[in-house]
Amino acid sequence: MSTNREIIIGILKRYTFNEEVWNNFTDDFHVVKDLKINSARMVDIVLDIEDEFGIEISDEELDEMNSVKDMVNLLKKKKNDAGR
Amino acid sequence: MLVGNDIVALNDKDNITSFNRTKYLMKISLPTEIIVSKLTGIKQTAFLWSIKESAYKLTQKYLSLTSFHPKHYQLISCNQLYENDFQSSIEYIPLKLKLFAITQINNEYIHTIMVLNQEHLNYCHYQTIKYASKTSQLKISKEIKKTLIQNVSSSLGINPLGKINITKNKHGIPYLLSNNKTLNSLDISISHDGEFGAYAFLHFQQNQHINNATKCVSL
Repeated sequence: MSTNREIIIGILKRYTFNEEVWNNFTDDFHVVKDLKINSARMVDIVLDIEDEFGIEISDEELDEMNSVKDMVNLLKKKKNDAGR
Repeated sequence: MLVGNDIVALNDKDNITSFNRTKYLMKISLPTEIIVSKLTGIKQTAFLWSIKESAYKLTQKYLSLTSFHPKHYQLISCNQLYENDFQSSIEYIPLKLKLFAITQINNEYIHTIMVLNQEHLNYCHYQTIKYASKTSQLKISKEIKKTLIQNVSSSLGINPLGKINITKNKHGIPYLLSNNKTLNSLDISISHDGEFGAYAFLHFQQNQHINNATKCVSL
C-alpha cells in the first residue's frame, strides 16, 4: 500500500516535464522553483490531492503546499482534525 | 514602475486538460467575479488565470509576497478595445489595491501585461514570440531573455554586448544588471508557456509597442 508521501510524489510526477529535476530530490524541494512545475499546474495538483484523499483544501491552506513535506504535514493535520 | 506579465498557450495539451476541469475555474475565481462573456471555451478560464498570474507577479515585487492565492485577486472590469485587445482593472483584495492590465487574446495565446497605474499602460513595451514546436522550455527561456536584452538595450540606446544581463533574486524574480549593477530604473517581466515566450518592460522615454503581433522564430 502506498504511503501519502508516495501518492503525492506520484501526483507531482504527472506535472514535471524534465526527469532531471528529480535528481537529488528531497522532501523540502519547492514544487514550482525546484521541480519546475508550471504554476498553472498547482491548481491541478490541489484538485488531484483533493480527489485522491477525499478532502477539501482551503485557500488559506495553499500556503502549506510548497513542498512534499508541507503536503504530507497538511494531510496529517487534516486527518488529526477530522479525528477530533 | 513595476510590471508583471503572463502568457498562456491555448493549444498546449496540459493547458487544455487543466482549463477544461470544471473545478479549476472554481478554484481560481470568486463568486462575485465578472464573467467576460465574449470569451468562450477554455479562453475564459485561461484569461482569468493569465490576469491573476500577472497580477501576482506584479504584487510579488511590490508587496514582497511569497505565495500566490488566485482568489486574492478580483477581476473588476474588462473592456474590449480592439478585436484581440482587452483592457481590465483588477483588485488585490487584502489591500484594496487596484491594478490595470492589457491582454492580447487570439486563438493561439493569451498574453497579459499588468501595471500599477493605468497611465503606465502607455509606456509598456512587450512582445510575444512563437518558437518552433519542439523547442524546449529551457531554450525558449534563454531565447526570450536574449530578445528582451536586445530590446531593452535598444530602448536605452546602448550596445547590449556584455553590458546588460538578466539575473534572478532569491525568490526567482528576474531583474536587469547593467555592468554588473542592478538596473533599478527599468523593471522587466518574463513568461513562457508551450511554444510561446513573452516579456514586458516599462520605459518612459519612448511611447511605443515594440511589436504587438506574434513573431515566429525557428530554432
